[in-house]
Amino acid sequence: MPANKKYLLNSRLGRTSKLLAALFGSMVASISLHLALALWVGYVYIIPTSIYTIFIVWVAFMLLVYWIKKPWKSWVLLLTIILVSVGGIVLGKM
Amino acid sequence: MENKENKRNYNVFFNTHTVSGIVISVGLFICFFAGAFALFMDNINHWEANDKNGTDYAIIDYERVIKVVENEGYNMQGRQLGIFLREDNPSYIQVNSQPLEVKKDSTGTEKTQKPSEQDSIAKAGFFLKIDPESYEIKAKKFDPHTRQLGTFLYHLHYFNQIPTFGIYLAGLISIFFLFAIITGVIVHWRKIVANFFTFRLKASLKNLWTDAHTALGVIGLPFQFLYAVSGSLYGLTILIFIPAMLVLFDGDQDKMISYIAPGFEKTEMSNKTLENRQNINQLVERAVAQYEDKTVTSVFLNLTNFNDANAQLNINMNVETEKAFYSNANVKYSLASGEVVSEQKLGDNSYTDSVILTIHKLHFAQYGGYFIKAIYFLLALITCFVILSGVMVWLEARNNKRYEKKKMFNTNVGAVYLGICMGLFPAIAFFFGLTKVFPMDVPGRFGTMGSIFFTFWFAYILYAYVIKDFHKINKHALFLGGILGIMIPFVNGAQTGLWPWESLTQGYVDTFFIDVSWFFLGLISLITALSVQRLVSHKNKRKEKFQIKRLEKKEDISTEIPVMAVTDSSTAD
Repeated sequence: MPANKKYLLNSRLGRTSKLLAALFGSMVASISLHLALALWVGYVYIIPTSIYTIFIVWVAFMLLVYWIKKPWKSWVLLLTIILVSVGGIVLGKM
Repeated sequence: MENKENKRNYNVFFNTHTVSGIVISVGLFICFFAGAFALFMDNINHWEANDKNGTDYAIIDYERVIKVVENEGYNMQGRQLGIFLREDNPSYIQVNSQPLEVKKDSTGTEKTQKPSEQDSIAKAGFFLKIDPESYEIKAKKFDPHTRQLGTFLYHLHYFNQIPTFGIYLAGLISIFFLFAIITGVIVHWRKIVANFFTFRLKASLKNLWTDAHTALGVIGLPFQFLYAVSGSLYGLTILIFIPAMLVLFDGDQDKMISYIAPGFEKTEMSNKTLENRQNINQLVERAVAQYEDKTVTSVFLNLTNFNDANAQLNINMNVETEKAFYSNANVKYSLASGEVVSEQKLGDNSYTDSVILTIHKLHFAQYGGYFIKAIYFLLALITCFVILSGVMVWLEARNNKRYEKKKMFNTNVGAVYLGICMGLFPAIAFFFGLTKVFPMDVPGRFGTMGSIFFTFWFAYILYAYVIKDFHKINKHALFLGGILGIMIPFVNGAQTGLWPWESLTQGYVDTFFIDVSWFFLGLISLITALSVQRLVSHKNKRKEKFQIKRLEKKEDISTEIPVMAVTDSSTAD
């Protein structure tokens, strides 16, 4: 009962793109989101919590990447989160 | 429409579950199997060295240690020193220090004048191993290789034998493990209750493995989730701390350390020499005396700004008590006056502290003695079974005509996977026995034994690859591991005279515990190996029966036909 191929992405480029999004995109998104929260909410609570939530949120983003059908849409979502977080970090540091 | 969407999601997550699971399976198995033994790291180390369980902290003459270090010619003014007793075979006092910071003069003379060699040694950082009995320096270099079996297995469980990258590999495996757990739950969600009570023994082999995989997967889920998260943390700590340091602490490591571990923060130097220093031994005694009614198991000293008027002594203690979950206490004295600068009493932890300590305690099973560790051991073995049964589902799903072309490849992959996973058990049992029979005076003893262990393991993988029979690979590994496991207490008894009854009466609790546990572990796997039957697919059996019946029927029909024809013709007549 291997998964039915007709529901899976069959372009190699699409699969690679999704793998990269799941590994690196989600990781950067998770880390930057936590850093932005730490700056705005207060790192006294966010850093210790992020010790475990960084990985849980990372995997949640991985799931989103595979749940969304088109690879470019996953990238748009991740890049939006990353850009908003980085913007928050830059603003918070000013 | 919604139905199609559901089908799509099911298939996508099913596929990611399969792919991520298969990719990490072997590595994850090693993590859990070696990790199961690593839970008893200290006990195994005591067993190997035939040490009695040390529960009390060893009293060290710190003043004498500092004299020994001073005599080595290091510049002690303003130094940071870490001193503690490290358990090893044999144990030693570890003294380590960071290099002295070179202060630049306003004139910049420091830059132009090259420091002499003697001067640079005096200011360099160092690492010293000091004998706790004779206070002689035994080594001046940190040796990352262990000489203890328990520690070796602990290192194996995060691939520390692969330099630098081993731990990151373990971290990546953990994060994919977390992904595989969650996708597994998503795929299984609709039938999670019904399938928990389903065990189809009399269906196809694939169904049998699937039912075992899902039921045991659900039982071990919280345990596995804990290890997936904490394993990612320990493997990929760098991902948390480097970004946090760069962004939140302006790239200043000291700032971050003072936040995470306030006891270890650097304090400003006054640049005046300290005239009358408090006796360090007395300060340690004072700190430990606070917990007289409890057991202080270890003491870690951190001295900052040595010989400076602002010198401080941080004493970190591990206090064993049944009443508190957290067991650490911290007190910081001024070396000039002996007054308490800051203090963290037992059970009085900050949020940061409690998160780090909770994850540590949960990961290392350090909160309920032997009982919790035994449960952890069992759950780790269950997880190993879940991993292997997942591989078996993958193989069985491909054991049909559609995958005929890839059959050879799949069988080879399966044989090697099983060889690596199952071969680890006899290899570990073999290593246990080896530590007791290998001659003591061979140079590089432990390194050689480690190589023999890996050779044994590799030989089993080769054997598995050659025979390619999954049933035999399992059976022979259990048989071999069983025999070697049962032999361990006998080898130990014959070599050291510490038979289980002797070790128990003489107070060698860990020797007794490991010997007896191995005996029963070996016995169970031997019984399993001898009573196990080759798994047969009942579906195929039924098919065969059905085909035989059909053949028989056909024969019946063919024999009956003429009769019928005769009767027919007779009636026609």
